Amino acid sequence: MPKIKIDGFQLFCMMVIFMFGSNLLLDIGKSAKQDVWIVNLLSTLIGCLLYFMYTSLFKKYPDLPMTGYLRKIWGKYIGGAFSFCYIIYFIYLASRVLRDFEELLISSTYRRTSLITLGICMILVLIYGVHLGVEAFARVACLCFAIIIISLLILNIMFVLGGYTRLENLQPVLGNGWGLVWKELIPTGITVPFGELITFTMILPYLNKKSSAVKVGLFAIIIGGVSLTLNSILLLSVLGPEAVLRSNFPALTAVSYINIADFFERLDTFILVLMIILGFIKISIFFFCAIIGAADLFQMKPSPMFIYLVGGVIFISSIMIAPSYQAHINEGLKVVPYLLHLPFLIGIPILLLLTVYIKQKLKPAAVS
Amino acid sequence: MRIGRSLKRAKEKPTTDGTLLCEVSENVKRLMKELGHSSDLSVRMIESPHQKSVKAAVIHLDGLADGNIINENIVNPLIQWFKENNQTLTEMEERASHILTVSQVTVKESWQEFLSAVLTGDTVVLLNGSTKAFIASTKSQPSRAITEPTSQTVIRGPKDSFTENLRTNTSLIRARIQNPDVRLESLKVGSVTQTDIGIMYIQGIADESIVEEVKERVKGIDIDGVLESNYIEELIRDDSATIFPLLLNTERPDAVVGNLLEGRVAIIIQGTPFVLIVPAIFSQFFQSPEDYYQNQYISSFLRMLRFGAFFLSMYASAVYLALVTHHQGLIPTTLLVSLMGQRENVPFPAVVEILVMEMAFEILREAGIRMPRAIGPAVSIVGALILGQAAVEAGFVGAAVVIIVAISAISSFTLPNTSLVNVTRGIRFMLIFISAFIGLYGILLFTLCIWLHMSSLRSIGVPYFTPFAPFRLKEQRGVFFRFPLPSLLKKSSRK
Repeated sequence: MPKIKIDGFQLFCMMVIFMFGSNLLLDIGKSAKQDVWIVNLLSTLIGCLLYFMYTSLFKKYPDLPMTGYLRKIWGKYIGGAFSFCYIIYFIYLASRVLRDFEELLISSTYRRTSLITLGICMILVLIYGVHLGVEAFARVACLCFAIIIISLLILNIMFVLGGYTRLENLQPVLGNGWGLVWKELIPTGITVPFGELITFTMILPYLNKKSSAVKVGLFAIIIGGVSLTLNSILLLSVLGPEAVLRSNFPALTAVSYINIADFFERLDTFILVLMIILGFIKISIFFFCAIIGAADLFQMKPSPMFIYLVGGVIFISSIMIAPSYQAHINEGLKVVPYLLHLPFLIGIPILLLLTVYIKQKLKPAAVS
Repeated sequence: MRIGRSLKRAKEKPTTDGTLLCEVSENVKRLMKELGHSSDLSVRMIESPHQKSVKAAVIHLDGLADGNIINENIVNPLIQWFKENNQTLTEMEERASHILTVSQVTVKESWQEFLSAVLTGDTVVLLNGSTKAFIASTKSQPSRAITEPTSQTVIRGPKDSFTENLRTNTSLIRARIQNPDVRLESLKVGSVTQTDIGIMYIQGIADESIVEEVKERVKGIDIDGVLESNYIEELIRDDSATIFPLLLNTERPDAVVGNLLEGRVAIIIQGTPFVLIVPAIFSQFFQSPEDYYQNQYISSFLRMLRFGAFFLSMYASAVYLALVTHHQGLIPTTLLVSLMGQRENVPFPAVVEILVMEMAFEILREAGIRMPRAIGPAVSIVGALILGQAAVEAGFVGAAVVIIVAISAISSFTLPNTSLVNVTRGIRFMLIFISAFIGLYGILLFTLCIWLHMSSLRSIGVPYFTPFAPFRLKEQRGVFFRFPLPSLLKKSSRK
């Protein structure tokens, strides 16, 4: 179906950045205290399983985005209704992440700027990016990937060489038992960011070598998961579990500790730059998914008008989604995972897969 | 004014096709009429002393054809021949091409070809009673001497540059590659000007599909006149809504040869010393031919310096503005105190300061290009004094702003290609506005926009932003470093 192609490396970059997205910033699972990294490690494993599930559906219909095979499997009306829900879901996720980044900017440097101004600037760039298409975006993602990896390396080296890490912050391992770990793991740990990889089922049809989807994806998940784990270990050892728990943006807090030779200081801008890039990529991917899905569902070309419209919706809902940052975070940790993430990221795909298997079982029986 | 206005008269005129007439005087009359009795049309009638009806007309456009050749190799032999012989028409037709002692004689019968031969500077001999036109090549277009390049200078390296004459330019290239695989294909573009365009490439090295694509696009151009290579550039590039140069232009023959050897295609246009090279990628604009004429380490350093200067020239003023207006916390305290001390006496906001200085510099620059040579020093003295010291002392701008603007201006001149300098100017102003509005966040978002934009660009089908996007790490080394020739040669022979 799509003529535009992306290659395996571009997919890899997009996936890794996508996983870094909110996690690097919010350090999800932080209420597991010093065992955050265990949560991260375990969720990486579960993420691999989830990705297996998504790709096994993709392998059945390699030329269709998820909204496409939803209708193939469940029929025009039920499938169509669910596709529509997915599009709304993607738009909702995009606006949630957008709100995250607006809040980050406000709490760090733009204290006196309104959410609206920051949001408009971001959404304009997003609209432009989506307007140019997946191909240009995938190329930029690679560029961003290189920048992010290099900067993270430099930052982490600074943490270690600057002597800010105290490994005793990690102890005792599993001091609170497995209970907290499980509570964090299910549902937030597995849904964000690994469950969110379901977005890539919308982008996989653009891949030039369809067979590499599984390999590249798993590789990306493992690399991404391990780096997230390392990152959370580092943050923990710098800040300690209590500070991580209290801070809204642990990465920002940790970086502001750095002061080497009175010259390398105030690096929080540095991490802010990274965050904006990460956020840009992550929101773009959700945005793309919404557009691709809608184009597929309504059988139309993604016209500029439509992109502006969806962009506008994302922007406005990012403002209206919650009255304050605390409410936003609460919603994100307590409501969204159960009501939205679990059914959309795990429930529906499992049901889809089951339907496909049952259909396959039934079909030969009907023939013979 | 000169573009796009279709010449109505030319289109309403009866078509000039048809063949030549038998009668010489009729042909001459028709030619006179079609050229509107132009005063530079020269017609020399030669009659045989033996026979009244045997005569010939020697026709050329004064100034375009070489007068000496016409006198000695066309008119003189014809007169001698008429004097000595008394021949029939058919004999004359057969013998005529032997009589004209010029390098190339072609025989044509169509009126159109006859006309275009006259207009390009060839000399045409018409015989009375014959419908054939003997076209002797006597082109000698006025051209200036080969001089040193003016916009792309080097310290060590060839000092010649292209001229306005297509033939001179192709000969400069040919002289450097003595290889039978060099191909030159000629086209005419411009429905009124009929400008000669040469497409040059090396068979076997250049990508066939790109050569075809270039030819196709050049042929498809529909315009009245082509006065400079930019006309072609704008008409054949892939994306018209961009500030970035999608085709490389150069006035250095060695640069063209280097690019031909790498498999690119050169488009040479009559009337301009700037040759286009396609396909061009972004990183090429940072390479000077001199990189290969001097020590590899120095070259690598200079290449990276140019990249740094490119960013500095775009971002210096915007980042300064962002720091001073939005992110004072990021400036080390001692520096901040001194900066604010300077700004104390300045009545304007920082953005006005920066914009005033940048505009003043742009004005100086433009004045420097347009003004007559003799006034040059005056302008530079006034500019330097007023914009530097005096502006600071008068309290219009802070000293730091002068420094920042000077850095961003000077950095842009390290770039080997002027098209890229213009890019930095455009982007610099956009960044200043955005930075004034929302600080570093805006600068970053705009950078993302530029990346997105550049990634979507293509030059004759080749992604413009390679090897950065699409990301090819191995090729990127060659962008920042100039590798020693032995390793470069090994690589190309392996291919």
